[in-house]
Amino acid sequence: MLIQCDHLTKTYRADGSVLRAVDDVSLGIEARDFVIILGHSGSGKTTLLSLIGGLTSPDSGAVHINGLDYRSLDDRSLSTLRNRTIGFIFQFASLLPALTNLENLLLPLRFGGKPGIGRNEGMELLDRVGLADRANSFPAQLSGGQQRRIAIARAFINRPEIILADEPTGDLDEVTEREIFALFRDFNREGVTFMVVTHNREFGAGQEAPRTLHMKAGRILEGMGDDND
Amino acid sequence: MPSQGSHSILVIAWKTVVRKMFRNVVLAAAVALLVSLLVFALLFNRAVSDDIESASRKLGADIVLVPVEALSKAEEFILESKKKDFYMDRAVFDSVRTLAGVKAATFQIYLETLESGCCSIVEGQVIAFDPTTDFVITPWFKQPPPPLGDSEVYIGSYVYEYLGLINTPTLFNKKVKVVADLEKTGTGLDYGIFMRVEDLNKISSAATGRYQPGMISIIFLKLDDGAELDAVTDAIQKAHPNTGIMTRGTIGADVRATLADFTKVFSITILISSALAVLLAWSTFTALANERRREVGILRAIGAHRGHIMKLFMAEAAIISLIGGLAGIGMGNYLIHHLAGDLNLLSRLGAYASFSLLNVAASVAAMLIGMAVCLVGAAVPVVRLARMEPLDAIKEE
Ligand SMILES: Nc1ncnc2c1ncn2[C@@H]1O[C@H](COP(=O)(O)OP(=O)(O)OP(=O)(O)O)[C@@H](O)[C@H]1O
Ligand SMILES: [Mg+2]
Repeated sequence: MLIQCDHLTKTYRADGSVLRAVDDVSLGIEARDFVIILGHSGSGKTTLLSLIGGLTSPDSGAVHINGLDYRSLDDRSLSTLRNRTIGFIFQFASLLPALTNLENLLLPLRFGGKPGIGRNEGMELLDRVGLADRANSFPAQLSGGQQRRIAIARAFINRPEIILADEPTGDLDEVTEREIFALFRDFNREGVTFMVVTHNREFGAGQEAPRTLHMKAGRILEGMGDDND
Repeated sequence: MPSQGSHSILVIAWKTVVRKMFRNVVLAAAVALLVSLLVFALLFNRAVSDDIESASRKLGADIVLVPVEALSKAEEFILESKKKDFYMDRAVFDSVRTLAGVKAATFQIYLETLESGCCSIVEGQVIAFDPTTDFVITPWFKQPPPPLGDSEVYIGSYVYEYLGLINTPTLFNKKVKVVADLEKTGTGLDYGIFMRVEDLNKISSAATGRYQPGMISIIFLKLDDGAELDAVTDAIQKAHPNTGIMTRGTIGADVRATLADFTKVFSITILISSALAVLLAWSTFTALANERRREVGILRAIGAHRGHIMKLFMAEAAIISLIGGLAGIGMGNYLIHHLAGDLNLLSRLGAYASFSLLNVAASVAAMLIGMAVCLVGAAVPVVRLARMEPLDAIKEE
């Protein structure tokens, strides 16, 4: 098992009441899985992804990656794990405005990175997202969708085992969205494991059916159940 | 590869600072002001205390005697360039030179030059001295000077420069020949025109003001190595109650006291400015930290640990304060240069503001203090930012 969640619970205190953003979630994900997470706004998708990525710690329960318990890791080791094993894609544009597009793409290498990865890999990835000619311009000179594609490419620079993507195609047009899906599928075939939060039920259409998790009020319902209640 | 990592982080810091230079200018300017104040205060203090120190040391005398009413004037002469005339009986000299503990004694006579047009050296102080006993002037020649003859003088360094413009110097309407000049002493000696005591009787009494034969102005005493300074001054006080006594330690005591006050004022000003700079750095970086929370969250997500975030933001603070510090060094030295021309007290500061090791050391020290102040202010919000849980940072509000 690549990712193992045991009774994960994360609560928030809001206005005196306790809100269970993630409520007793147990989950196992195998290497090379392609998992789609569906659910209404506020159902806990981002929180679950953040728990799995070690961006926040649970109130109770545990996350294991490759058998490694997050609770046994200090800040440095957890950061190194995020750097080398996980690639994050966020709901929003997330580039540093002071760096060029290529520098942004290579940014994870500055915090450790895997040995032997460099500029060439960066250019290759830029090519895969169709922005090779924009390597040396700055994020502000790109459209919103182009910025998102740079951020997506950045998630792959360290050849991660796992990609955690939170609505990666939120503001992209259909054509680009389909290209991104195809890109994900390619990487998945090359062995990368995906957990993708999306509102698009067509995600991955035409491919073998991805595993789908349905979230509701912090809980997981496996399978393609009805989203409307 | 931690070294490669931290180097790359410096690059990010540099690019970020340069991009947002305009908003950082305020903080840099505050650091610049603080550093310039520090440079100014440090150099000012050093210049003035150095002056006093070297004046008393270079004098070569352990005890200086003058008429009691002339005590303050004499001190000014030793420290500065004021022209002086005051006199006491030569008998005092003959008496104190034989006191127990006195190794060497010499005297000088300061002359006021009254007759207008008598002398071509307007700013000089004519001083008659006794070459056979002198130990005050003699050490200041590069080579042993030729002995003085009739109508021959030694001159101080200031007079030497001044005379460069005049072909034939005259003194009391007589042409004189300059046979040697002193090195710069940084004391009143620089303004001296030194003649032999025995030549005084060749000058008309009308030309020499209040001076009367048999009088002297100032006595310099050197003590035996083991001699008790207090015992000797007590003996002098008892024998000659009308004599003003300065010892090496008391020379410049007034100026020292004033300097201590200045130092206090400077210290308070610097403390307050530092506190202001800390607050400004704190508020600048608090704003900066809030503005860039999401950026920090993203950096954490892609693998930056807390140390990386600290390094990134503290490097930015260091770059901003370095820019401010360099500007401050420039401002501080500029200030010294320009005030040195205008203010009497600072007239000798100019020399200290020119390129010297002291100057460079003071400037570097001031800059490091300025940078430290800025880093302290920035540290609190930066630490808080680095400690944030990545998810909280990413969410923003
Ligand atoms: N810092 C917080 N303080 C209080 N409540 C929070 C906090 N963060 C999230 N929540 C709550 O936790 C629940 C889950 O939030 P989460 O961001 O995981 O939802 P989501 O499924 O990603 O929604 P969306 O589709 O809108 O992104 C929500 O009800 C939200 O209001
Ligand atoms: Mg979300």
